[in-house]
Amino acid sequence: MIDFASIISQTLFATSILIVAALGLAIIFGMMGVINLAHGALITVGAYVAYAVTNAGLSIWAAFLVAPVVVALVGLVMERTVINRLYDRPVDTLLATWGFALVIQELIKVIFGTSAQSVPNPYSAPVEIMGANLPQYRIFLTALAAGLLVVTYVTFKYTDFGVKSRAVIQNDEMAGLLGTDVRSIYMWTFMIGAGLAGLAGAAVAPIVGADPRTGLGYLVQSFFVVIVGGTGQLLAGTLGGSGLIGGSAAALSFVSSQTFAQTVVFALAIVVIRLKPEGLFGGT
Amino acid sequence: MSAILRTVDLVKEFDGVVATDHLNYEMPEGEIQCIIGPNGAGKTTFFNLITGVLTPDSGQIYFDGDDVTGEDIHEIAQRGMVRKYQTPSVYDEMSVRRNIHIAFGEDKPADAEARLTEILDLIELRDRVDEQAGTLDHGTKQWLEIGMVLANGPRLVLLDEPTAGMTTDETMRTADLITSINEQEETSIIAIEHDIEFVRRLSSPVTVLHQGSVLAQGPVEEIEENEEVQNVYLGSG
Amino acid sequence: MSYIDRTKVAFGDASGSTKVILTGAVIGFLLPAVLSPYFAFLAAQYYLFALLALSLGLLWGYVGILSFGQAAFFGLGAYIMAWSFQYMFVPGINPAYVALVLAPLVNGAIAGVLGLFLFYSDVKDVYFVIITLALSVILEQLAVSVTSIFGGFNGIYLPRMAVSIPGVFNYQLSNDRLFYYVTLLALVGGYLVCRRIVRSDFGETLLAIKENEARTKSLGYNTARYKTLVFMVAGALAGVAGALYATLAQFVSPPVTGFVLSTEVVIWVAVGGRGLLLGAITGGILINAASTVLSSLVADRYILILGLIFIAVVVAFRKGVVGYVADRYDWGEKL
Repeated sequence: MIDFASIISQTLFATSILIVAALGLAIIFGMMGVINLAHGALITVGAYVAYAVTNAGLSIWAAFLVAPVVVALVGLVMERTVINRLYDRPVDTLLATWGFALVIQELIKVIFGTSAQSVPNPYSAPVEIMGANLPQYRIFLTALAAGLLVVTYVTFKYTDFGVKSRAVIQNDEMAGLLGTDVRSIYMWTFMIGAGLAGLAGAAVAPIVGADPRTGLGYLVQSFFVVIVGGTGQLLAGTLGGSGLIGGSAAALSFVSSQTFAQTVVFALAIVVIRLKPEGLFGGT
Repeated sequence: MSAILRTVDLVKEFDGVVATDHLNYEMPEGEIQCIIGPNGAGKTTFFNLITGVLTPDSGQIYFDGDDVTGEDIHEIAQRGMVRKYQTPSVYDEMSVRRNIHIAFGEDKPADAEARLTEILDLIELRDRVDEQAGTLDHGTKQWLEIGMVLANGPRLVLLDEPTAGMTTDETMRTADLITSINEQEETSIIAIEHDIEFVRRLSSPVTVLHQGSVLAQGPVEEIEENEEVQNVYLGSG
Repeated sequence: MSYIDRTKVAFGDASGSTKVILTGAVIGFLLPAVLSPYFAFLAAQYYLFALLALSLGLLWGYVGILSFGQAAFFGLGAYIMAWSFQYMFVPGINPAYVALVLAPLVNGAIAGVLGLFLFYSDVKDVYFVIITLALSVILEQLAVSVTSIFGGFNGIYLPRMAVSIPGVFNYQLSNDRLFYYVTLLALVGGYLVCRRIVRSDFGETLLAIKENEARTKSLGYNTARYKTLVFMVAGALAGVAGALYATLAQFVSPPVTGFVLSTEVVIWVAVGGRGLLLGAITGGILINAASTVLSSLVADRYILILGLIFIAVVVAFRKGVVGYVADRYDWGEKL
């Protein structure tokens, strides 16, 4: 007896998490072309901010506001000190961001210790939809994912900043000649990407807690989502990539262990990349 | 004389823009020919198609009678079609000597040292053989690249704007160099060019490309008188 | 001229890196006389890590391919050594010899398959980093979860290898000072192999591919084939290093395959000097030695310090330690 509600819920859940986690990278890597290997670490920082905030007695909702700001500031530090010198050196960007990932991870261990910390879940009670018991928090995450996609789309398509940002990314020389402050736009775009990673960390913290080791998993998954989905296509890429990777992981985990499912998904992702290097929706 | 290169109804589109429009081109062996045309006419796309950098949407490419449509870049180069890029594409980090040595290809000539000297003499770089390629000035780099292409032992040389960025004097000397190469090495040469004086100096047949297909063909003098060609250049100039 | 004088002249004419390597090898040969067995054990580890670093140094410095997965090959080599003592044990044949043949072969084959799959396509070089990173993660996860083969977190124990000639003698290298020589030999041997590859027409082509692959392709070189071949050699070298490491430590467990080690290798090579084989070796030995010293001083914080040094190297000191020395003393040759 196939439990459709369960399958749909699982798939939706897996996809939503990936959308939330990968969106920041879709902006920084997919749009700006910056290979940010610190992405996972930034998510982890977000999770720990959520922990710190809730531990100090504030509500989880406060954490959702504080985390993106804190991580955006971390992103600011990264961008101003190092990243902005390396925009035309992709390999060095990759290495430098990896260095940051190490430093950030170690700092987290220094400040918070090496074991995982739990973060309270505001919606732990399950709710019944179509005969299945679904944790409410999953619904919240799905709504968050959808909301973020909409907001990001609107921002980059219609706002003044969004338009300038896209112009700069496409052709910064031209944009600069037309009077746009290119450095500032790069900085803000990077910060937004980082902030989104922070939000993602806080958003998943109630489920997975704050753990210095989870960053890597998110890093690899997020990169696969963006690469498989297609760089340059913010919405379609993130949605498509998340759907494919989240969906297949969810489907597989019904028939095998988590580990095996993830291995197969990674292998599939590699095959997709090989067959269509510009990504499923890519090709700018 | 047989054709060293022949394209049949070559088509290439990018996002709805037709860059190459049923291009039929034939190049007899042993000759020098020039390709001219306004910007956007599809000249570099043509080179990209025949060298394997791009795959045509439809049409065939024949090199020395063999169908090479869809072959990979290195396979076509191995057949003997070697290209000089528009922006100097030499190994900046290496010496002139190494550049030529690498350019010999996988099968180095038996008399590598002698051949090296031969080529260096042709491109007038014999006394700069151990200098780093990156330190050479633009015009010299262009000549080094021509030397490298030559070292590869090609049957057909493709030159993409060989005199870009050169002074008039350098341009004329390059034309003479190309004529020497054609005579001495018996290589066929196709050159994309903008500089009419260069084309005149070569006194080779000219093909005019416009919007991805051949507009006119013939000697320089005829082309210059051609009204259609004039309109195309003036219109898009 | 006497033999000594001729040697002196030859030494004087040798390139900078050759001098360093020769001097280093002599010192390395003499070191056990003054080292306690414990330090010999440590040094042996460093040599194997240096061999691992060398594999990346060849790949990255000479072809320009950055692999975040060399530890996967190292780890696989280590497990192969463990398995040859456990599951693949054939009485009468020295298990270590089996492993030392299988490890490079299996790793080379896997690298070959991967290379065929990835290099013969339009996958961007930077994606290779993500893909090899994912592979390390996958292998580590497998090592943790497939306990029947890999032993999970508990790992697999194995004895120190023996040198033997069937029927004549069988001598187990339990003495750390003796095994030290095995690892030193492996490192020097690996270096000579890489050097032979690099100082040849093949090596020249590698550098051409690294600098401008499109140009090299358009000169008729099948660049994918070159990349795959070097990837296979690098995998094989890492596999041998891993196999020896397993029998040195007499224990194998998942971290030996994992991404932590993979990324550390990148740091060793970047800091040591990514453009020269000697840089990779130096980085491997130096950083591990420094880590041992630092961790006894500042515990786990040394990773933090390492991370900061790494960022500094990437941003400002791209050539790494040996790279700068080579420039300063004008070594010329890229070795």
